[in-house]
Amino acid sequence: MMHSTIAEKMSADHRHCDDLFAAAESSVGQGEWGEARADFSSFNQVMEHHLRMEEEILFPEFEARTGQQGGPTEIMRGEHAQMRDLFLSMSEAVSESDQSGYLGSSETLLWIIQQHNSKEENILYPMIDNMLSSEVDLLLQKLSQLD
Amino acid sequence: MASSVQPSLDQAPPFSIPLLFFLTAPLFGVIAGLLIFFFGPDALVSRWSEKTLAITHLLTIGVLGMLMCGALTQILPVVAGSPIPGVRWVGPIVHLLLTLGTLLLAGGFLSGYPAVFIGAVASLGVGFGLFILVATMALYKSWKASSSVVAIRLAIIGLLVTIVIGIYLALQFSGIVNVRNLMLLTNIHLAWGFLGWIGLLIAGMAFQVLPMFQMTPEYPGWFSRSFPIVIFIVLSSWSLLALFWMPSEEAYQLVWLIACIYGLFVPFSLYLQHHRRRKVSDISLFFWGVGLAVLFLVCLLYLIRHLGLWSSSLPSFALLQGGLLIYGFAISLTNGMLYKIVPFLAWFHLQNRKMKVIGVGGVRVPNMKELLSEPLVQSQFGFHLAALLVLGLALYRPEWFSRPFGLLAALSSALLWFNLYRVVYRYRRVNSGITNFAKEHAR
Repeated sequence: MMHSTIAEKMSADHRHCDDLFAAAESSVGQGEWGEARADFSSFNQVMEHHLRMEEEILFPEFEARTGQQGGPTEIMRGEHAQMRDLFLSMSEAVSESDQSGYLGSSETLLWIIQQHNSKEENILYPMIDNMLSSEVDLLLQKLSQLD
Repeated sequence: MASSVQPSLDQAPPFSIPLLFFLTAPLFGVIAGLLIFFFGPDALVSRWSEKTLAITHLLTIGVLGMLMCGALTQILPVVAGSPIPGVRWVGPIVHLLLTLGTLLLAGGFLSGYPAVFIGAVASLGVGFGLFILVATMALYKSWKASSSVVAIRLAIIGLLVTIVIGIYLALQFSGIVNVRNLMLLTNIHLAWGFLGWIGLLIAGMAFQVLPMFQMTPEYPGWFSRSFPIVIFIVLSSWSLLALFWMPSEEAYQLVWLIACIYGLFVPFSLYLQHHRRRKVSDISLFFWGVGLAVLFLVCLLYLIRHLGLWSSSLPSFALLQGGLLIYGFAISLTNGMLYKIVPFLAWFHLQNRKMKVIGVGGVRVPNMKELLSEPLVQSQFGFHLAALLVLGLALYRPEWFSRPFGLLAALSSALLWFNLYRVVYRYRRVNSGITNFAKEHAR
């Protein structure tokens, strides 16, 4: 699908991650472990790809433009690290078929993701669209080329 | 532009600030429950009795107002992208003044001493006034006016109206002023408290929180945008009409309209919940379900009375309505919310600190579910539900059921406090584990 702003593209990607999160959680909830492992793995891949789009493309551009590294992007990177810690716990839980361990970590992950997304969608992405308005097309192209 | 309106994304207040409010609120629930137990039927006979007024305000200010202010210190940065200025010192001051003011107000109603009312007015006036001021500053700077932000802004105005009229009424009790239309002003005071402040705030949070954490579809834009504005306009029109032009029953037709609009909120929310993408459910969903069901019931009861079908052999409509809205709707919802927000904040602050001090590995931070004890949470839900059912009976037969209701309500609040305190206890243990680990590895 074509998006005309960073906010649109990245918010749509958040929704996609949410869908995969819900699918994995529901397989774990039903104890369908084969499915759960596959679902978790595709969720984890898509999430990692999303985080890399930000860390490798959007944040550096934003930091270069604002000349600040300790600002909003620093906080966002910190929260990414927190998420990755939970991906690890979930990955362990899903390989050990540990239902309560997985659901405890996934509930926690959902909370950190949702408040993180809300800050990005309401504040950071609109700021990036605003500040880098002349380069949005180029950025969108770079984002879709990231493997 | 960037430097002038740069919203900081690290605006979470220290854990201790919302926690002060969250751990105090259930204690007011315990006090209210115990007073009902001691007073027995006297507590639930008339909405005008001093005992009932004392208990009502322990619940509305001590429990609900306390929780709402605590939640806003945490939620405004996320929803509005703008933190409460000076939250580190404003938070504890507001908390202290609300605690003191609530106790004095209850004491004023029970003792009748004018000086106690004046103390209550001063504490609550300054406490809420300060909170309204800083919340308004945060909301004024808000980056984006989503429907949640609009609802929260109007809710804050609702709080202001409730407090101003409340202070005027309290001065009547202290004998300083002589209020002519006491009954009408009381009705306006509580309508703004329920429908303007608490109702709009809960709706505003639901617009944002339900799609986020239950992964429901969004509320339709026309609904979430118009809901707070329509409620606010109708509520203002009714208050002005009733006060200045139509001091009769006719103006109450407008309150009936508000009940219908709130009634609509319930099927909308249930429909969205039915289509949620997340399939796992837990106890806080049950609390939410009970709260919504009670709200719908109150709207239906309103319809029944509006059609003239409320028989005089039934319990007092005002008491039933107030009891259900306070205990069944608002307390159920906030109780469920606490079981999510407190464990999440404990995890968030621990994880944050661990990453800063130790980095990856080292100490394991327990997740939200490990921080909370599920069986105890389930039994607290049982106590809350039992208390709600006995409240229904108590309004019908106060002489038999008011004491059991008071006892159950006190037990339920005490268990809620204990469950939250356990989370904090585990938080402290892991936190000192992080400190020790860092010390040992620094050597």
